[in-house]
Amino acid sequence: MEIAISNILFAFFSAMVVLPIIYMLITSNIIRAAFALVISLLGLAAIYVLLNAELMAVVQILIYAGGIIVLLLFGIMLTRRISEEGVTTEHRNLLLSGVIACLLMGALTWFILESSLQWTGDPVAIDQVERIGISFMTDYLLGFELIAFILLVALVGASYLAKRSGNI
Amino acid sequence: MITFLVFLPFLLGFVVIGVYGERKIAGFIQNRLGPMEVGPAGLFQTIADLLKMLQKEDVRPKAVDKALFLIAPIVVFASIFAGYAALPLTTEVEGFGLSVGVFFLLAIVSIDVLGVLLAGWGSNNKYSLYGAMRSAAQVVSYEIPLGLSVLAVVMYYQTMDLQLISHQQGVLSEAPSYLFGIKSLEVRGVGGFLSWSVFTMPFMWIIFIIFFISSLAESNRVPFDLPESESELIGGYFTEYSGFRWGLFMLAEYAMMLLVSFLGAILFFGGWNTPLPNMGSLALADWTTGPIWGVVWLFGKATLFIFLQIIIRWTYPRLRVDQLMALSWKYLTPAAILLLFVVGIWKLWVI
Repeated sequence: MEIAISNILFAFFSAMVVLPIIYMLITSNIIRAAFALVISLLGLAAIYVLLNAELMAVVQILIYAGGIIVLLLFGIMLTRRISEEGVTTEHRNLLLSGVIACLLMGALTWFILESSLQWTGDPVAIDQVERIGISFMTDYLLGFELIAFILLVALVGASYLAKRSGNI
Repeated sequence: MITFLVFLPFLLGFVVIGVYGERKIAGFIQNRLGPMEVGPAGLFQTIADLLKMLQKEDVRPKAVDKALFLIAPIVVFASIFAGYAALPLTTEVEGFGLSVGVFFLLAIVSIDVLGVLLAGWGSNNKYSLYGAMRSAAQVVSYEIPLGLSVLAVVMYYQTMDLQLISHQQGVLSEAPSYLFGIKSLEVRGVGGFLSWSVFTMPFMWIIFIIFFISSLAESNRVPFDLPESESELIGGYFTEYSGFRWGLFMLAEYAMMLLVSFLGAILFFGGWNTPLPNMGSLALADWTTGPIWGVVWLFGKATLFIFLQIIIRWTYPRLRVDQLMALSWKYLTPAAILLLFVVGIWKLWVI
């Protein structure tokens, strides 16, 4: 019975991921498209929760839904003139992009089915935050430090650009 | 489940009483009477206002983007209310009990910016859009000092679960804790206010001040209410809203005030722990710790912070936009980073 409920939830959240994306492809209103993307990202976070990856879900909400989308909306609203009728886009290169998308999906499906990825047991039993933190500072230290360094470079670059174009 | 059964009724009741309290306190501060005509001492004024608001016509201007306009207030309120799910209520009843508690709370609350932007954009009105832009810039900026101050507490207690953080600040704690970090002043088993984080770690006071200032900005309260400043922007991002939808924005603002008050009480002032310490045979802390007492203390502390927020609202003038940004980026964020460093050193070498 429990499996059935979680399956229904999974189906619901999968629909929540896929349907807004389809709407996003069809609509020409950018703001609405961005909002559809948020719904889709939240659905993805919910799927992470169903798979017991709580930390991943929260990071998903914080960074994508809370951070990047707000930045995106902010960017759209700042670049366009405020009194304009609405921000719209048009559809171009339908065939080519469709073919590329199908190829990408086929390739991903093939890789996932062929790869030796396996279910690694019940992740509820471990303290995910602690485990992830420890592996960041031990096994993946180089990557972690590199990302931190790249982010620092981006920050310094951004503040330099802002200073040159603005009136200090 | 407790979120719906306990926090939702409490929130709705709180808004009614909170608006009345706000008016009365404002009247007191400004040396006037406040509401006094409807009912004894004006007690029913808010209820009358509420009834009026609910039966008001739901005006939808012709030029709005309908879907965004209608969904925005729901997004704002739902995202803030979802934050309540992480709050522990009392010794026995915790929130959803995940190890990522306070992180989840900060993440889900940050979605309300999205609702504000949608409201501002959907209204198709310059004032609304300016209000929304100001609000988004402000909330995104102040999330950084807020997050860093919360992170300092998380680092100090080595957990993100709010129930465990509360647990470590009281008489029930197993870990040794010292008053002001001084080794000879052992307060384990004494409990009361002596084992709250602000008393076991003196730097927590400064962190709390940073937390409190940024939480005021997060809930768009004076002196940070630029997004809805009526003298320049009419009503900010909810200019075009009326009736129940406007009420939802109001409800969301009060919900945010209450949520950050709860969070401040839990992180810095012991959550559901009693303020009364054990004194020899007079075991006040043991007597006043328990499921029922926990609710009393938690809600009492949160109400105190609300009171503080209301006093600040009627005492200080509004900040200018550049002052607002300078305060966040030039003062609060560096101070928060420095304090995070101090907490790290404290955790490594002092304790």
